[in-house]
Amino acid sequence: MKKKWVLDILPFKNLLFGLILLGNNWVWKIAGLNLFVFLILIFTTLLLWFFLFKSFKKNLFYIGLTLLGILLIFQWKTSTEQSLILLENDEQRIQSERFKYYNPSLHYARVLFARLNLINFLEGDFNTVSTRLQRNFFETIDPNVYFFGGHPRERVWANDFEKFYFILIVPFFVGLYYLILNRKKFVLIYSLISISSLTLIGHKNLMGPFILFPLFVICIWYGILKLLKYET
Amino acid sequence: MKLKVLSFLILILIVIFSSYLRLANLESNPNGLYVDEASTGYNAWSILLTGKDEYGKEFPIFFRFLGSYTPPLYTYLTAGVIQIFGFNIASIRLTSALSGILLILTFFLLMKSLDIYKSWLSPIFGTFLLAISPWSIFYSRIGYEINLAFFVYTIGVLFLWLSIKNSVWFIAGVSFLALSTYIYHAERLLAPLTLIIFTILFKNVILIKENKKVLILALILGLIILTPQLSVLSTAASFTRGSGLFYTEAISRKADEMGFLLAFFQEFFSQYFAYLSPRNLFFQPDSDLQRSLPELSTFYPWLAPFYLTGIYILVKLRANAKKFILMLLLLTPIPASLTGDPFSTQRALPLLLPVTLSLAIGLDKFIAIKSRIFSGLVLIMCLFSLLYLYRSYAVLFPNERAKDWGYGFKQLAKEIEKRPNEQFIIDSSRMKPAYIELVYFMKYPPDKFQKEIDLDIKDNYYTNTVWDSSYKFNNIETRTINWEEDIYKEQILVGDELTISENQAKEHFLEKLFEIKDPMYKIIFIAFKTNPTLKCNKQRNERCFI
Repeated sequence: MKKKWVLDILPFKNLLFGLILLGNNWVWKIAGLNLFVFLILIFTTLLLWFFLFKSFKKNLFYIGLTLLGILLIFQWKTSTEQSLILLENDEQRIQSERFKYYNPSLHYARVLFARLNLINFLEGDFNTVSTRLQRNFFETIDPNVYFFGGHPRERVWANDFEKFYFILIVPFFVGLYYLILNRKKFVLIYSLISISSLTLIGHKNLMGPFILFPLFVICIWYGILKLLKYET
Repeated sequence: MKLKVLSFLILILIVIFSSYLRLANLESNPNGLYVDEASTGYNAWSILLTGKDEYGKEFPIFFRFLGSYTPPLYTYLTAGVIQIFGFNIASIRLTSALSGILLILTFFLLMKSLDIYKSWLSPIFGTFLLAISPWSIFYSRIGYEINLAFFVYTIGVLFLWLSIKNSVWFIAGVSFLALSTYIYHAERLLAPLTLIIFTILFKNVILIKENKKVLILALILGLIILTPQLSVLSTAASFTRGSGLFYTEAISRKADEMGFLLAFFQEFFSQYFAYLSPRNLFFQPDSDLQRSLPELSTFYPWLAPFYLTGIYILVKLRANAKKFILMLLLLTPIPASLTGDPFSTQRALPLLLPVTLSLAIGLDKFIAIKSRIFSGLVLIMCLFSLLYLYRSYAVLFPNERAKDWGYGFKQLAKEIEKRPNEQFIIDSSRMKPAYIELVYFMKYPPDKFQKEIDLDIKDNYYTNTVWDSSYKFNNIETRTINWEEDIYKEQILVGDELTISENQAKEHFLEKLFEIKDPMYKIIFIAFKTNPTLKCNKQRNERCFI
């Protein structure tokens, strides 16, 4: 008979999950700011984890989806709205300087752009919206935002803080890789919903992009188990 | 056969187009001459004329540029270019531009030899992405060593890869990697790291009995190439740059809280992951205005999904190429991650290689499924990208970043030359070292300059690493203005718009002589003539009698 390791007897995997779930700065920061969001986050994370690794019941999936919807609403309502079109003061200054110094009449190619109405494409609303969406998107998928408090490119306006201990970035990536490999649909749907929402909503939220919290916890947990070559 | 010809023809078109992107307006865009370019150019000229650098040191192994001890190869090559094309800005930048063009061919060969792409179009697209990448174009058009080092490193890497199939290439690989250490500081760390990790990863094909002769030969050749550098390895010059850029302060701040080792790892990994983050690679440019383009990062934003897909496929891949590309991806950010600047595109340039390879792998996945539709879409996106590149590089960059690129020194040199009998004080408190820009633009004779500066430096060249930004030559002094004394001597004070306020000018009876503005009409330099007679008449004090 195969000898059981001491951690097999203890509910190691479950303890580890609890430790990751509650042993991070992020969740306690959220708890301090909004207890209701904290409770829903804990419940959603546990439910998704249970659904993914314990029991594939459809009911669980629907409950999880509903909770995710609630979290999404909270993410939206607790974030300070950042316009996708309105320019900030500094952007207005740069735009007016550019209009002043690169008047289309000064440059042959810009005359062409002006005729084709591409000036607006390059300097106007379209460009502003596209830049804002890109900023939100790339900040959402920046690992430094979650593990290093945005360092070395801190975002003062976003009140960045270290959400998870920095060493956990390694198991996070390992876990993400294996999760994509083994639970592709889940990761794709979850990422698509949360990342696209954050791309629209933006990051101006004291609690951070917490809709991604369950995915991070599950990835880190899964990654640690894989690194320890633990059966999942 | 047909595909091979077609692929070759497209490659030629790509090389022609990339040559245009790298050579057009080389003299005037970047608009100005950055201090590092001026140092390279002036010292190359000095070597050409006198066989010595600005300090009078004969053929140095490291150039003491502004105290940075830069590896010498780029400067020596530039001396040759100046001999052929004359002493001008384009000559200083030409070696870099040619490296950028040859890099395109080397990269294509590397992609073909990796043999992991399902579609024949993928290596072509990958090469085209490199050709139009803002990162590659930007560093191909600057007059100092970064791009040449990257090019030579890439050749070394290509030969290493080829040595898996034919071990003879290992000799060439080692030689080129050794050579790259003579070009840029980052390669001095990266090249040996690459060689060691490559040998460990592929020890089953490299470290075998049959390769004994090849390995010995590679080792001997590598050591011969490195001998001049090894001769100064123990001097301070060899380490001063690396230790100067290391984030000692940041670590010591955190060390009390978490211990030195953890503080180091936290700082290192935060920098390291920043180099691999899509946010920095595809959206947010380098924060140093001199090293970045307005509103364009190292790659175009629409490529980010292919980068992520590429890495995912790469990790899943079962081939030697997986180990090889992942090795490059994980090693290339290391030198830059040991320095404090956030996302320094200059020090991380070799990262361009594995990232572009990953992009091509990501693209390949989609091209292999729907070849025509997808290729068409990629082409349309490339056209849009070129539009943004034009806007950023040809319109915004030469105007908005002129000041960061040393615009104005040419005009200042002319103003000084107009007044040979007047004494000039150039305030150095907020500007990059002005002396090297001025000697370059004034074409100040190197043999004369070598005699006018601290003569002891050349005797302790590799040990006297403390660099002083104050210089005195001809009728020019570059240092901080001394308000207690300078206004009591007849001379011209030059500074930026903050150096001398209107009130100060009034108080000290300074007369405005000239202003030099950038293309956005913002003041870069402002010059005032002192009037000690009037000053002493109105406000007599003991200085008036000195």
